[in-house]
Amino acid sequence: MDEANETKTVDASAAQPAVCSDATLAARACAGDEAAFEELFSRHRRRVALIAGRFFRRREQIEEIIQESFTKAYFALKDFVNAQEQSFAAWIARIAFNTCYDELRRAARRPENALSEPSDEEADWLRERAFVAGPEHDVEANAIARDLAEKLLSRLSPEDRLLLVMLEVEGMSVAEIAAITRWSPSKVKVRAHRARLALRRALKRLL
Amino acid sequence: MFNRNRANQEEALDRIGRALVRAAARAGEAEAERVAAEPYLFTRVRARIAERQRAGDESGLLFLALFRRTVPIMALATILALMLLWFGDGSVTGTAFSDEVLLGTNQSTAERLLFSERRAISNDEVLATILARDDRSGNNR
Repeated sequence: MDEANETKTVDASAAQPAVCSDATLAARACAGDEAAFEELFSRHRRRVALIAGRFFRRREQIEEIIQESFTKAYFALKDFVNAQEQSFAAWIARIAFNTCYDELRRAARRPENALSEPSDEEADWLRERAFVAGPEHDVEANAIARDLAEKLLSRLSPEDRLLLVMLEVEGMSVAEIAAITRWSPSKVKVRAHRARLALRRALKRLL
Repeated sequence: MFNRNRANQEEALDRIGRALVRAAARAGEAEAERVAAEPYLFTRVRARIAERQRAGDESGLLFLALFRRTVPIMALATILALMLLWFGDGSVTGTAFSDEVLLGTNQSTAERLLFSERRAISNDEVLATILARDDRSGNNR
């Protein structure tokens, strides 16, 4: 009877996979364990996809960012395992943001990616709402806002766009942005100020 | 009054700017969720990793092949250069770096005559030439 119970317990523990930490999985993946890397991928793919979605709307662009981020992560695993300074989530987020930044810079160099000017309808829509202090979700809910936002943001430099998304959407602190971009905190502050000015100028031109 | 209006306007622009940035960032959320849920995403990542590894190996092999070819050629060229320097030593110092060449004492008589005539023109000579030309042009008129 006791033996039967013991066997059952052993079977149950064998059936339930042990939950490994990200650091352990990273160390195993670094040693060549592909299953460990797949597990890391499964845990963090959504976060990386959402970061890509902050900058790109097309499916193939988002997929490209995911693939490139995890490929870079795979080849840099040794650095992560040796450093052990931060969580894997923060580390992969940093890689994803940097990959997005590289892609934004590449896209800015391609003239075929230049978006069209905002239409009259969009400009009128903006004028109507610009000086009415309403809840922000009214603006966000509208499809016009999204197209217009995309056109306006395409006029900003990749650096400005990256900073504005990190500050306004991700709600990151200056220190966090400095850690991701490897810029000094004072440089982040100056760039953030310039990014806001650039956005204000782009809006002013429309109004 | 003017400053207050301006501040209000800038505040309004910042507010709408923030809203637009958030709208643009959230526009890709649904698509990102769909991509993240794709079943064969890891297979594609693995394929890309394998491709990069292969490319890395190939470039390493290419470098090795290039190294294997260039090193013997460079070594041969160095040996040849050393041999030339060693065996051709006497003939080079005999002509190229002699005192005659450096001091110009080996010039022929014609050359010596030619260069002996060469000297700098004095200011008086220049002035005299100008005055003579002016006189000639004045007489012609």
